[in-house]
Amino acid sequence: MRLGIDVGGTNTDAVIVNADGKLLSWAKQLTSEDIVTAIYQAADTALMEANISPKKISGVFLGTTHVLNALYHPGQLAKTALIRIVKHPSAIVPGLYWPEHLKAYIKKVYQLRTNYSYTGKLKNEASLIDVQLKEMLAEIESEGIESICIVGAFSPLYESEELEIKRRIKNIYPDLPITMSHEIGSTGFLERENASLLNAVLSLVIREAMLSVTEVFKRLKLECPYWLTQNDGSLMEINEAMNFPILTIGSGVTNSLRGAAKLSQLDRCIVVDVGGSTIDIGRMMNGQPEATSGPSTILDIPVNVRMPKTESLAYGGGSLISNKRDVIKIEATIASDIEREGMAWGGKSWTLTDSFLKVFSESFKDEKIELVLLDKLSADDCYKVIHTVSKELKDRIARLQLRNEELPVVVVGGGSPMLVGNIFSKYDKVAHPAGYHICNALGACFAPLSAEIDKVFWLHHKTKEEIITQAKEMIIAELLSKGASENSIRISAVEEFPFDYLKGEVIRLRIKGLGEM
Amino acid sequence: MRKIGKQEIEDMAVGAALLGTGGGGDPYIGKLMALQAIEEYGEVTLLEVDEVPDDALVVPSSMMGAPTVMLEKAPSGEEAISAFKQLEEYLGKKIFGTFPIEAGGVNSMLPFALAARLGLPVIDVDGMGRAFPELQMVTFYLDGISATPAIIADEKGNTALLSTIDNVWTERIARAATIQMGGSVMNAMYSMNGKNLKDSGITNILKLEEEIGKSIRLAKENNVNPIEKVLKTVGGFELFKGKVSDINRKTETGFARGVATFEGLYENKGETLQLRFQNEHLIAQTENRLLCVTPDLIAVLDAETGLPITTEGIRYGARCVVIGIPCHPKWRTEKGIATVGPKYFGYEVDYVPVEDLAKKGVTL
Repeated sequence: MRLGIDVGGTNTDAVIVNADGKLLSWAKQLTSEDIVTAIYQAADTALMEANISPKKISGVFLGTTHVLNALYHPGQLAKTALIRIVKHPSAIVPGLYWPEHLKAYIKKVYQLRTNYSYTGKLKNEASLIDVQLKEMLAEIESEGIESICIVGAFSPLYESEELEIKRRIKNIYPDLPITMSHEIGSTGFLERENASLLNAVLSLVIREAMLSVTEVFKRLKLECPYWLTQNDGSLMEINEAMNFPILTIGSGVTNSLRGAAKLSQLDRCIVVDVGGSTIDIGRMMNGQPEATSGPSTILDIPVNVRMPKTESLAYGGGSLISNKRDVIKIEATIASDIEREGMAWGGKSWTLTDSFLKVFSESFKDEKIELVLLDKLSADDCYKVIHTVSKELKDRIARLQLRNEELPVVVVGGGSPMLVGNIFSKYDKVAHPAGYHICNALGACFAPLSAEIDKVFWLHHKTKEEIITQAKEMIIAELLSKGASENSIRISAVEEFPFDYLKGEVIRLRIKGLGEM
Repeated sequence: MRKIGKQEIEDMAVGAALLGTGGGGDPYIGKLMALQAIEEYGEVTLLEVDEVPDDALVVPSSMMGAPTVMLEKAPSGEEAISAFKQLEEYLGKKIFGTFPIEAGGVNSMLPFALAARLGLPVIDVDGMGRAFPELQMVTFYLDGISATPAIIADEKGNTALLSTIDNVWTERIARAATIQMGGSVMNAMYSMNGKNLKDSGITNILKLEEEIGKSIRLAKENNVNPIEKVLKTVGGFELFKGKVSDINRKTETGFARGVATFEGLYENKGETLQLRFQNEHLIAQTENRLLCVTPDLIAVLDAETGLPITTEGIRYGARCVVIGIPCHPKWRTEKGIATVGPKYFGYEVDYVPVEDLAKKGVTL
């Protein structure tokens, strides 16, 4: 049996499904500030309702937007020192065109000289690195550095300098989180540096969250592996994920895509997930959430890690509405507990959900709602809110629709009931599956295992085919060791990236495999 | 004369990726270098070719080698300056202005980074009207302008002065040196005077790049079909709608040779397109129709966004529209076709202009 947990901006859900994928129980809690209190309560309730012993749970599957949210609301981010290992200072400064609030966390930049070019080590100049490194190590404490990011030119080919520098820092500061760029992305220095820097500034947030989550699972007597979903929709063990926040930053969204496909039994569809603080729109193609191909961006920062390909609206059911001089606006702030703050529940805040309730009284069913409380709202104003949501949502869906085939739209998430009957009435193919409110937690339970190799190889003594075969074997072995069943394993992508315009037998290979538990 | 700021650079980069016809390296790093240089040193002056005195010394600034390697080195910008300074010293004359050697890919952007730093104007002209892989594949070569004296410079501080008997030898020697110099170098070659530039260059090419980028950007904002807009801007033809069903790359020769296969959609349903490339896209053909041949331009655009896709970026399952654009008339001469036509790249196909192919179709 599996325990799936989703920590969203508003709610934390837990579900238990059996080996056949049947839902046994579910529970919902408001997301707590420390995230773990709600996880404990939701998981505990789900276990009790299913009436099963925690020992029977074979795996816990977690998805969360917690790490992603930290980028929008910094404060818990880590002051990071960047170590560039390059031939000479580059014309392009680190963090170029980053949002200022994030750039502020790149506290120090050190430039060490690399001994490598694309053909390998040039000569031994280790002494030079020694001097610069000593200076830097002395400054880590005085500058209050909380995280280190090491980016070496050509590290996807030769990782030894990044490893060596990490080793030396670890000797003195064993607990300092260290990101090495060759573990984050492939060739493309700047995109790899951006992704690695984001990983480094997030290292404290994820570490704290995952350590306390692990503690909670232990407290719940769950003696099984704990997994977090990655950006591409596959799983990573929590112990490992702690070092790679950037690779798991999209876990919430991909779980919702997978859950929606599972619930609606549509493996090609557009998914609209209506949450409390955002509305996310993504696409499932052939049973897998679509990820970006090629370079992608996080907060408009170019990175070379794969991200879920989604469109987002920066508001959800709990967003506050303002009326300033007759201009109706959906604000960026949200009601943290709509059942206390929302007008229809007797609170003082005018939310997006209140606006829907005012115009369509049937749109949301809750015994605690008293529609008379909405009397003071103007129906016209509320209609304007709905019109904005409707227009923006339809525009995003249109962007994801294929030109020659109309994909069905699956609407899920806690806020989905109020949209389905009202905004989507004109769409032909709309599904609103039962279980829409626990879609993410459910999706997490069905995520596959994955293994990937993305490296640059020299073809000196081998043919390309030999290298590919070898890499595939490594991937299969890795999937087996992670617990995939042998007959479920398949190689899902083999991509070659030659070094254009260069005569030489060097190639970048990216090979990926998937397997089911 | 006008000033080039950040928005112009952003638009030009999109146009450059399209005119790169799949190759030339992603303009992204060049764009960043240009943007940062403009931020630090101010906007760059763009001159029409008519504004250049006939006797002025003009030199294109470009990189040579593997863009993948260049991306890793994170260039300092000093390499290009050092190449220019050395050439000025050798020729004993100040350089008046610079321009891109090719309109496609990373080389379209690098002159702006250099020009901002040195306070030089960029001239709205190039030597290809697109991107090509070898040094002699420029319209200057067709008119007998020598690539040398040429300087190539690496990031370590090495420079080399080349003096060769012809431009094909420049290509051979420079490429061999590039490998020793770390896989990518900055060049100052094809120095010429303003008169030569006016006669032999392809003018207003940066303006075209900018218009392409702008039309794709505005199409997105106004929710209209970007591909129609692009075709109108470049005077091109839609060749094929389809999705990538196979991508086969070979690297034995060091050049990214390969074939991408597209399965037809809509009016092309039932057909398959084979796109042959050697860094740049060179030939597009279906089972029984020839659609477009080098030196005419073949670009692969994302069916949804209209944004150009490089050969590296072609992914299985991606929905694309393949378009063809007539090359500059300078390439449609006997020497032009011999230099960059299908036979030079090893294909036993005769060159037929894309507009003729589009009209009647040539059965294979």
